[in-house]
Amino acid sequence: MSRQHVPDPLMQQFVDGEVDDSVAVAVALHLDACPACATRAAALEPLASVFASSEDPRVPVGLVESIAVAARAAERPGPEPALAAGLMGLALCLLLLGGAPTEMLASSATMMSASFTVVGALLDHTGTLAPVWLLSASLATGVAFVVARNLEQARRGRVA
Amino acid sequence: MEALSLRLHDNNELEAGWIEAAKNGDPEAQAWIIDRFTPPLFRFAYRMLGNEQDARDAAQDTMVKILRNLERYDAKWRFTTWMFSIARNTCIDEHRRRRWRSDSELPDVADSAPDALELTSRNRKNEHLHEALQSIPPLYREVLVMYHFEHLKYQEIADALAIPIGTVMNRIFRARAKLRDAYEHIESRDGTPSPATDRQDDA
Repeated sequence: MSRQHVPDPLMQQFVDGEVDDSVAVAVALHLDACPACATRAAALEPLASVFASSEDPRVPVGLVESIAVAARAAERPGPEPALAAGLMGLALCLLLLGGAPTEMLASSATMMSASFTVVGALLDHTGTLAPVWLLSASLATGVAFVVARNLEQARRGRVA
Repeated sequence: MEALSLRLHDNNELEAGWIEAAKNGDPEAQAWIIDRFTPPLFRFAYRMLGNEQDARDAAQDTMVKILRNLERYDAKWRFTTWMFSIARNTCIDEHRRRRWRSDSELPDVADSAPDALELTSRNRKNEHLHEALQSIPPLYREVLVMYHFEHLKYQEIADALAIPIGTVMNRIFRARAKLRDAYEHIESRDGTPSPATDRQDDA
């Protein structure tokens, strides 16, 4: 099929969708590689004259410029680093309000996790990995608090 | 023909060079990509969504996604194939958003007839084709737009949609039939002869 042009009757059947799937695929792959047959197929389309006379929509004035502006804005880091910094601030407050050594340890772990998140988010200028950083920050915070609670319960158990 | 193929080869080389530079963060190359590919993106989105405002938004969203994810672009594909796969997903999201918003807030473009001012600036066939295109389901519309208007090859459409080429062919056959029916319905509604009738007359 790829070396021979598509015969007229088969081409008409193809355009009308009256060929088996395997034949349709073979003809389609031939048309992809053979501009002459692709042109013939296009001419046989019932709506060929309509397609040929169709006009492309005009690109609005200023669209390219506004997209360039939007693309530059998207390059800047989004609110994710600020959120990660907020998490770090929360951990800092816990550290200051806490007192018991175990809570301090857990808060320190949270702070470190949040710090890594901030660094990661700042390095990720495109913002592509923002959901990953957010997820990791949430997980790190959650794990740190679970550890803190368990340690605190263990300490109270020892004291009792 | 040889000169044309050489020119196309040169264009592909040029395109590959700009894309590689854009991948490396070259702002001039990114500007080239925006300048070069915004028109086909807008055309595609306009034909998929049916109106200028949604098409503007979709073209912008798509281009931002493209520039953000350039490092994921595999040069074994044509750039436009990859680009249209992203544009298509953006248009699907826009369709979903449109459905989510209330119907009264946003009229269905398939039902919206062009105003008189538009009709004076475009030819009637073109308007009817646009209306017919908007009346068929997006699943069929996208393959027609990719093949007949953006001139992707069948295999490239299969790659862009991540479906087998046999499925592409089935969709295109059905899409053409639906478009033809819709177009003829619109033409008969407006009392004008259909191209299919023209073809039979010619034969």
